[in-house]
Amino acid sequence: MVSATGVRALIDERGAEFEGYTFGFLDDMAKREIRRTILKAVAIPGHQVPFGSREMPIARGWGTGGLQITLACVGADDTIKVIDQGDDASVNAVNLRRLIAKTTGARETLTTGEATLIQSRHRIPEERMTAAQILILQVPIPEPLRHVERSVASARAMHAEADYARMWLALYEDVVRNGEVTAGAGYPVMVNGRFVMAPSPIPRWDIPKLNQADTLFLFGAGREKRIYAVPPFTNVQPLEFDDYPFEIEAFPNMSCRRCGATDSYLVTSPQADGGTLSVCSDTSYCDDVLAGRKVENQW
Amino acid sequence: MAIDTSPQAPRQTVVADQEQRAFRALLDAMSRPGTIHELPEARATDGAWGSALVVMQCLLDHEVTFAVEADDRSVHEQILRRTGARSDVLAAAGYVLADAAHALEVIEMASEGYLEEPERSATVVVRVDAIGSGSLRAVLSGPGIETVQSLAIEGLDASALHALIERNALYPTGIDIVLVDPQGRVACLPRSARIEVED
Amino acid sequence: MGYSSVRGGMDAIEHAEALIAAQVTDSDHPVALPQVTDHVELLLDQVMGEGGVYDLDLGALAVKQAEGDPIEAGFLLRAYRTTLPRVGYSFPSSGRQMRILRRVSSAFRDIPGGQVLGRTRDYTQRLLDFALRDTPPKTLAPAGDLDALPSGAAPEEFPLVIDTLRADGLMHEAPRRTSDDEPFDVTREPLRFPSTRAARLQVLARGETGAMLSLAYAGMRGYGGAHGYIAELRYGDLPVQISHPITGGPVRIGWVPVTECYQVVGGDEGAQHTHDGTEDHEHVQGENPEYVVSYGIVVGRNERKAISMSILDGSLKKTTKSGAAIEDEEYVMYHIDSIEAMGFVEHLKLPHYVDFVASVHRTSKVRELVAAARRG
Repeated sequence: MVSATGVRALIDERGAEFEGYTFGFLDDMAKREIRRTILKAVAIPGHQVPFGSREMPIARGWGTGGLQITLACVGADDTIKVIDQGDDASVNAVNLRRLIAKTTGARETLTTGEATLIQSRHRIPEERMTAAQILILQVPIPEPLRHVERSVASARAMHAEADYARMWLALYEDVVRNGEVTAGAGYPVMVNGRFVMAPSPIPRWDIPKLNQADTLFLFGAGREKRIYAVPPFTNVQPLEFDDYPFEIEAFPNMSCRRCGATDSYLVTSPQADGGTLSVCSDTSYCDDVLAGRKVENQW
Repeated sequence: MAIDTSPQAPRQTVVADQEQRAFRALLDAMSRPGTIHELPEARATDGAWGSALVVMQCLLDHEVTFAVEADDRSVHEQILRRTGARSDVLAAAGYVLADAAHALEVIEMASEGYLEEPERSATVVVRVDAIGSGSLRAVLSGPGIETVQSLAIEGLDASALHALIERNALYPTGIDIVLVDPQGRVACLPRSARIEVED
Repeated sequence: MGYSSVRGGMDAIEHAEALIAAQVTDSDHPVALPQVTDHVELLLDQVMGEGGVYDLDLGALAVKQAEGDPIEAGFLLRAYRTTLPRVGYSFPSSGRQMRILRRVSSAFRDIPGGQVLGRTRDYTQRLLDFALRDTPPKTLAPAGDLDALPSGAAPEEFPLVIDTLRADGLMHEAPRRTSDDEPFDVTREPLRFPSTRAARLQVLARGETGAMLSLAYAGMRGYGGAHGYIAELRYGDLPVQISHPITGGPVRIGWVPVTECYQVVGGDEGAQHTHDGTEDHEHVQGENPEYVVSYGIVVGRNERKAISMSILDGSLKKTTKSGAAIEDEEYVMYHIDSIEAMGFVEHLKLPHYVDFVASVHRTSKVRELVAAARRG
């Protein structure tokens, strides 16, 4: 067997950086490609733009798409927040945030209102986000047509022709079989009247927030190598039938056990005594309500 | 609530910092068509092409192609040298830089992508005399705009915008325009924008 | 929640890291990297090939750090690879330039240059060797010497077997590259379908041994594969040549060990195959049936994967499809990358309680509807 020290010597000679990692982990070319892709995605709302997703130091499916977008965007003036299921303390959120901090030195926050970039998995914050903020959503399956057309090439052709007949048929069959559209998290939406889009597995509760927002939404799917976007003030409508209108989750007669909120998305946990405990999924919102701070949450 | 940042985090190089800030200006401009944003400061020696070079350096490297359509071709050499991007013919280039005089020709000729791959289209950077003032007014609506957004441009002929409206009629194929002026301002006209021209 | 529980999450992560670190280092007999390179060579080869980095030291480090998990070790190498600058490109290497250490053909009894059995377990008896429980005395000559061929053996003495088939008119002439296009780079560009053969071969070469073995086996059992003949299976070193920075001429900077497999499919089955239009000829109906080659190449010693790769290359090249999954390039190319697969499969460990609440809400709604319908 032969050692590769020859190559190493060659690289050293060219002065390439071997010690430690570069700012934002990704090399400048990777960042440039992601930035080009993001700009195209913004110009074609809801269209999935392929990109040369890099291998990241966290596993595929654990937020590599969102992470690449965050690292391509983040700069010296940014304050970042990372949440998973709405929670800054979730171990994967902590792990992503410390990676971003370690490689960029970016200022971190747990408070929605303080962040300029929020990377999130499966939630849009309760607090209405502003024009000065960007929400970066991690996406497991970017293709909304995947369950009606498993071939990537065929699904792309369907998007090209805006041929969503099979999607509508599948929703119709769902209604016939189950009495309503059963999709829970990740409800498919129509963006700008042109592209059907997977909003990532956010609950229905968050779907209306995508419509005509002040904020830019960026979506990153690392394993599937796609980036797409919803610009601010863009029409985003859930796919629905006139006689079976889309509805969000309701939490009647329930409130957050911790802060008492009745206007946030609640998650429930079984308790040892057989009962259940419901708390806000958005921990920043919960902290604010508990502290008596007024938070604008009408999206 | 802020957390202490990691003291040993790597620093961004000056060039990388400039590219990152240019990108964020472009991202804001592309997300909110017709709004005006400030690019990071260009090299003084780049003169009137400074802002355009800031944009080109932010986006180009040897993985993409570009074309320059301008009376003053010196900028072509600068892009080649600073980005390593490959020069290509106008109709095939991924990124095109034009002065205002060539904007119409470029908008008519640049690549619009394919229905299945609308992203494989040209991004056209046009250097105009001024953004935010001028005799040509574009009134925009569509994604990124709450109601309507008005943009004044100096030094661009209305025919270029009329050609753009025509090129982008078959959305989602189309071309995306980045307007820059020598004062470091940038505004975008993505293909998703609906444009009315007042002149 | 709030700050204290974030600290809690961080504490938990740091504890998990400490437990892992202890597992790797706390031992009376800690593994030294040369032990990995010398004695766990086949695992190391697999990890370097699937991780996309050929570097014995880094590979051994990855194997040690991953406690011997080949997918995790490959993942460590790939993540490291991302951070490396691309300093240049090598010239293409050809199997004809291989410094041969083993070559066998099952299509012929004798082949020009001769069969070289080399280092193989194929004809050993699979009996646990209890003598290995204690470090055996060094009685054998160094393996390097054993591997060496009779002195003076040069690559030219081992012509490719498929060249013989070509000379006999049983196979079409070698394809010529028709354009100067850069080959598609699957590490830089997202796959687009239909893909090019260059992209397919790259994905197959980086695919995971077990996943490819499984698909190839399914093909051989009738799920879309073709039974071909191994014209040649070879193992040896390929030269890596780059352009000399001063003279511009090719200069060899090292060798990379590879396993190559040339499988030929002919007769009726060959007629179902055509090559890619860009790189190979099109089979014309009514022409004499001829043999076509399916190819596999893998970093290091890994014959299982090289043969599996050649079977999958063959099934993907078929133009007359039976509808089997292994003829579907999206199916094969998206699913043999176990580093990506393990990430997605294991992400189910991440919390999904927000989605689960959404799902329970829908299920409850449907149950209400069903109950209402039953009540009439």
